[in-house]
Amino acid sequence: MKTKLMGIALTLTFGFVVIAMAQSQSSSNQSTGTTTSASAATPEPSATAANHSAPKPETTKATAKKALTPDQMYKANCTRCHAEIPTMDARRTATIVKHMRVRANLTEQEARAIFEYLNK
Amino acid sequence: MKRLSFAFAIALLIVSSGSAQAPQYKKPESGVPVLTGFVGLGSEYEPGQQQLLPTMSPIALVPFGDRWLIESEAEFEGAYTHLTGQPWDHEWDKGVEYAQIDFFANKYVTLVGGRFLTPFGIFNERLHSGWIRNFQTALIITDLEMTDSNGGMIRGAVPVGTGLNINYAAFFSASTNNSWVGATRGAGGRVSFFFPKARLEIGTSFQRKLQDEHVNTYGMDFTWQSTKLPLDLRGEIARNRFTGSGYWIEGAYRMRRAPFWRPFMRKSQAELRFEQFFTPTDMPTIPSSSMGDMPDVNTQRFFAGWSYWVRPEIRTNVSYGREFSTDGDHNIWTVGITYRFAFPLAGGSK
Repeated sequence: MKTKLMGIALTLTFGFVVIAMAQSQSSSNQSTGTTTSASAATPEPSATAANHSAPKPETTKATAKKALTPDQMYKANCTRCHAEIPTMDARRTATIVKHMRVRANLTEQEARAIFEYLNK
Repeated sequence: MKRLSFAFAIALLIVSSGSAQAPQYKKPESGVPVLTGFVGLGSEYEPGQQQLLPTMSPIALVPFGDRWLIESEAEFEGAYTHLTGQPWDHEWDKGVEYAQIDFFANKYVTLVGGRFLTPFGIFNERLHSGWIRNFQTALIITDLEMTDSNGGMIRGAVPVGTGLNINYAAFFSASTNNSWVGATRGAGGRVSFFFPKARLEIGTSFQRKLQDEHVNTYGMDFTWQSTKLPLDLRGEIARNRFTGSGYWIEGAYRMRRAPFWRPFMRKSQAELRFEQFFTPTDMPTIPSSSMGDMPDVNTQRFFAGWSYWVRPEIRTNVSYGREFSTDGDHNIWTVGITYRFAFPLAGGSK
């Protein structure tokens, strides 16, 4: 029984990966192939984030070394814990970003960029 | 000593050069006091036992100027339990999760005083809230760690160029015997390396209990979010020579790209968790009362779950799990809903 269930767990995991890879393949076929990896990633940001415009594609080596855009900072820091983030006005957002600066060890730069991103 | 100074100077140089490259963002406007938090109702079904688990966690956030923030969370957790053949029984667990004052001393240092969530691993500080975590069922290894501390903490993040942040937190806690704000005397901290472009963070934690038996707990953790797929992976290992050791690993996949049932799938997430707990090889010298809910035999569990967001602030989830141990294998089913709120307490919206 134990082995059978472990087998099911492994099959589910494998299925997970196969579906993910298949979807990745189909989405990359649909895209023009010019987006950066970070901007291509859409790990389901919130309804709020979905309304924000995506950063412009960056392809050159020179731009690859640039700092992250506010959009990328938002995705790198916020969406790894919060799958959905409700929309809020700027003054509540300012307080909550301050709270997250402590909780998630955001740098001052990241906190400012994320605030700016959420209040576009 | 000279070598140490040289290394420190190099580190400062790297940090300052990193800061110089970064674009400047304007200072956020002042925030207003906010009452946030969540209410939730969970239910857990195991053979011979059914539980209803209502929870309410109000959080008050009160900023003072640019540098100060007072934050506090209270938690009320109910457990209505029905054992086969017996009437329903219930109990409520009440406590203050944190009540702290934060002072942003500079770009890299934040000082915290009061009662705070103990910085150990990633679950306790970041993921324990019911509206954030993927599975209602608590992790086994949570009880290896001190979860709340009363004292002081220094923490922050130092960017090294644009590709790496070094995060740190160090704390000291005093012993407190109070049912609402209980804490253990201890010290410890966490250091992590966060690569924002790769969305990868690897951390290591340590804490030493400084009352009764002086014991150490060590931990390592990671989070990784794919930049190609809506996939998150995270995990944590903790080891305490006297109370046990274990790990958990969890994956979550957002179904937004699924080509079928789009209205439903775009708000859904599939989740898997696997965890293992090992009892100590040395005979425990710790009284069993201070070992929390940890099992006394080697245990492994896996869970498969599904979350659906009715709205960004309303999350529903269902999960199936199975626990394996020499005490007997059994299923664990959960169903739950959480509502996350955030109201301004003053100043109104703008």
